Order: sequence, then C-alpha cells, then structure tokens
Amino acid sequence: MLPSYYEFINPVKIVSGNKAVDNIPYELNQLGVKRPMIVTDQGVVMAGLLKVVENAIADSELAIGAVYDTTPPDSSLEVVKEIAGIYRSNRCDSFIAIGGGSSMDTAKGVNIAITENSDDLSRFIGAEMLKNRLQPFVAIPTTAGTGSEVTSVAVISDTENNVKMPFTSHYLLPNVAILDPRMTLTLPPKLTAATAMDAMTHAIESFINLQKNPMSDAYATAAIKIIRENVVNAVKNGKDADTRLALANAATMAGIAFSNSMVGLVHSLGHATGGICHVPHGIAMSIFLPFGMEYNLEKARGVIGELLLPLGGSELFACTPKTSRAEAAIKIVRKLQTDLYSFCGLPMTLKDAGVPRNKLEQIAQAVMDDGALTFNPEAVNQADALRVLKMAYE
Amino acid sequence: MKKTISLEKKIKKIFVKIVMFVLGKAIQSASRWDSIIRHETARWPDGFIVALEVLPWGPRMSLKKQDGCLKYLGAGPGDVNLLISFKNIECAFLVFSGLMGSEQGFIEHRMTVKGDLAVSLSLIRIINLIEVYLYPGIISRRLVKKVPGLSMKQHALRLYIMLIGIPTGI
Repeated sequence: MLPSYYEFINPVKIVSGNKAVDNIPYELNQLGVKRPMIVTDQGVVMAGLLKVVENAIADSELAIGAVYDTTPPDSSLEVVKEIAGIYRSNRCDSFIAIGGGSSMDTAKGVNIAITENSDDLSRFIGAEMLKNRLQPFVAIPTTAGTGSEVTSVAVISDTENNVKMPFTSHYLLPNVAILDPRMTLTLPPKLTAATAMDAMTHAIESFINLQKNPMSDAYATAAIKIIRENVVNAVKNGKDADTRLALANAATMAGIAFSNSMVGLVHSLGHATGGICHVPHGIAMSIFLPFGMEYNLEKARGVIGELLLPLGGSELFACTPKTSRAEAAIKIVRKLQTDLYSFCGLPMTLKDAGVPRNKLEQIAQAVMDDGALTFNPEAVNQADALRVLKMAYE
Repeated sequence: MKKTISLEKKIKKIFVKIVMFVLGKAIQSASRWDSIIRHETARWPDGFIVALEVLPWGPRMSLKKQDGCLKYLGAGPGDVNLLISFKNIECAFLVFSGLMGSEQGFIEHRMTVKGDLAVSLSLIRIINLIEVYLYPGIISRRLVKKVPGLSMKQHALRLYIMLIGIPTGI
C-alpha cells in the first residue's frame, strides 16, 4: 500500500565498475573544479588505495591541492578545523573523500566549514541548517556498509564537550559516488562481514519502518538480495572483484533506501551500545538485527514477511505460508549470523562483543534519545529497550 | 497578478491559530504538574525557546523553558533555539486538527526541523502526551503509537488541564 504522502531524494551520480576510479578526472571536470583535496585515513594509505586515486588523477589536467591522510576513526571538530586550514591555504576547490564513514563525515564537516566560512560548526547542528550549496564532493567508499556516499548526514565529535554533533542537510549529499571493486578488495573478512551486516540492517530497517515508501523499498529489496547472495563469498573469497562490486552496490542502494526512509530500533540500540561500550557499528547491527525484527513482529508482520522474497528467494517464499513468512525471514537472518560467526568470528551476542552486563541499563537509557526510534513501527520505552538488550546479551 | 487566498485556507489558518493557543496553554499547564513532561524538559537548557510555525506567514506559537517549566509565549520572538516549520497550512491542519499525529507528520516530512534534533524528539513526546490528555481514546489511539495507561493522578490532571490549565495556563 502506498503511503499517503512521501518524499524521496537521491541526486548522487553513481559511477560503478572495474576501474571506475579512473573516471575521477572526467567527473571533476564536469563539476568545473581543478584542485581537489583528498581526505582519507592511514588504513587506506597502507592498503595502497590512495595510490589508485593519485594514479587516476596524475593522468589528467587536475592537480591534487592537498592530501589529508590521518583522519581518525571518530571524526572530530579539531580535525575538521585542521583540514579546513589546509584546504584554504592550498586554495583547493573540491573534496575527494576516500574511506569509510569517518573520512566521509570528516570531509562533509570540512565542507560545511569551508562553504559557510566558519570553524564554529555548532551553528549548523541539526536538520536543514545549511543555506548554501557546498563545494563539489566525490565520495569513494572503501567499505561496503555505511552508505555515507549517498547520505545527507554527517556526525562530528566535539571531544572538548564530549558530545556528538549531528548535521542533516540535502546539501551534504555528495555529487558523485564512485564504486570500484579495487577499493574494497583488501577489506579483512570480519570487517567485510560487519560492514555488510550494517548495509543489510540499513536495507531491512528502511523496508520495515514507518517512513518506507515505494522508491526506498525498491532500493532496499534489491540491496537485501545482493547482500544475501554475496556476503558469505566476500568473506570467504575476498579477492573476488565481482562479489566486492556487488556488495559495494548493495551498500550504496541500502544507503539510498535508509537516507530516504530512515532506520529504527536496531540502529537506536547500536548507536547507544557503540557510544557507551565502543562496539563497532557493524557488529552491533549484526547482533541486534534479528531482535529488532522480532520486536516489530506485531506491528509489521506483513512487511517483515515480504522480506522473505529477497532474503530467501522465490522458491522458499512461494513454499512458505503467508502467516509464517515473517518468522522464516528472521530465521534466515539468524542463519546468516551463524554462518558469519563460523567463517570469520563475527560476534553474535553482546557478551561476545565485550559489553559488560552492568552497562545495559545505561545503554537502554541512551536508546531513548536516539532519533531513529521515531521511525520504528512499534513504540519503544526504556523497559522495552532493556528487555531487548538482555535478550541480545548471551 | 493579485493573489487571493481561498476562504478554506483562511478558515484553516484561524483554526490552527486557535489550536496552537489551546496546545500552548495545555503544555504550559501540564509542564508544571506532569512528571513525564518535567522529566523530558529537565534536559532542555534554561531559556531554551522552541517555536512551531506554518510557512510562509504563520500562524506561529512559541514555548520557553523557564524555571523548570514551559511558558507559552504566543507567536514569540523571531530568533529561537528550535524551529519546527509546517510546510504549508494543509500540513499543519492535518496535525492540529487531530487527523494525523505529530510523529506521523514528522515521518511524512510535513514539517522541517531547524535545531537540536534530540530536543525536537522530546517535544514530540510531550505533544503526544498532551494529545492523549486532550483527545478521547478513540482519537488518541490513531495519533500515537501506543496510548499509555493513565493513572488516577493523570486522569485528574487531564480534567485540571481542560478546566483550569487551558483557560489560565496555571
């Protein structure tokens, strides 16, 4: 059934394929810029991925204005200020972010500082606070999970005041996202599994929750099918370029889906657990996903049942009575969890992930401040969140 | 070309303005007595001002955190800490007439939020509770995900808000 009203936006140009990175000069030329700044991290440098981008730019009229290659895992205000200074002093005119969510978010934060000509990002916290079109931005993900290359969100830490500063604006959407299998070939198995489960959670939650719409549904179901078909092979055989490209596409599609229909309880639990116990986001998503689906069974049984088609394939879907499809879909997610645990040790419980039991109450309290709860089909209070956390503990 | 606003839209604007007044006074009153609302606003900075407006020319209502409670300011000042803007009068009418819950309005992009998202969620939870107080169960069940069971004290508060709180704001 169509929602009575919805909105959908995705102006990001997707450039996908083997050696797609070599299209950067063409894409930047189309955007009318000549001196991009590269924002990335040491992991990308060590894996030789920065070299791939530099090689592509070397054979063009573009000049790399500056390279910042020490982005920390948590984007911070200090780093944003430092990079903005480098950007200005080198007269750069655009951004290329290479990496996972942190490099993307940092580059987005710097883009705000540059465009608004202010290092005081606190003025722009919240939704739609930006008034000006940002500098051209090319995103090259090196993990297949966050979907940051197609999302309108950035989170920067204010380490001085110990708060996370969220920014939401359609201006934060990159101009171009480049999906090149070379950029994810070196991702270790466990990280491959965790990031893929992050993408799977984006897709499943965007399909289940209250802001779902036919456009986001199309992206979500396509993403789920591709992840289901490729994740185990990507973990077992990381050098398979076709599998890597498939997962990169799925993560981007899941990103488009959740950027337009948001996420729900699973992400609220994951954000809170990550914030308090530093559990990596993908691992938290993998642990909480089946519990989040179960929690919403009463309100969203029908749509969870529909997920059996992309998760289990047409034969299983056709053979399963409508009334049992939701449980069957959850069973497949649990089976995927077990498979990933046996192939690469991806934690299945909070205990495995190193969460102390005495932190559960604190996590449940933090869940209540997470915006994603608004979009969850079933109402959630602190006691409900604690109950789910206890179930996911061991 | 001279623009003429239809009578229907004019009536809807007047209706929304009246409901904003009722909602504002109800929130002001409930924030003095309801522990859930006091718990919600405890984390708002003192002096924090939130405004709800209908684009492009109003109506508009503002609330200010003052001495631990929320004070209804009428249209209020132009510069506020959190601004929730309904995109047009039709969007606002849906929410203020009880045809759609505030949470659903947010989900359907009927409004935009400028400012701290965590406080906007807190405000939505407050409005949800006020809707439960103001509307009979048959309506509030459509407006909020889960209607909380009201205690005897809350039933009494509900009556108080309707009879004293809204007219006086106390």
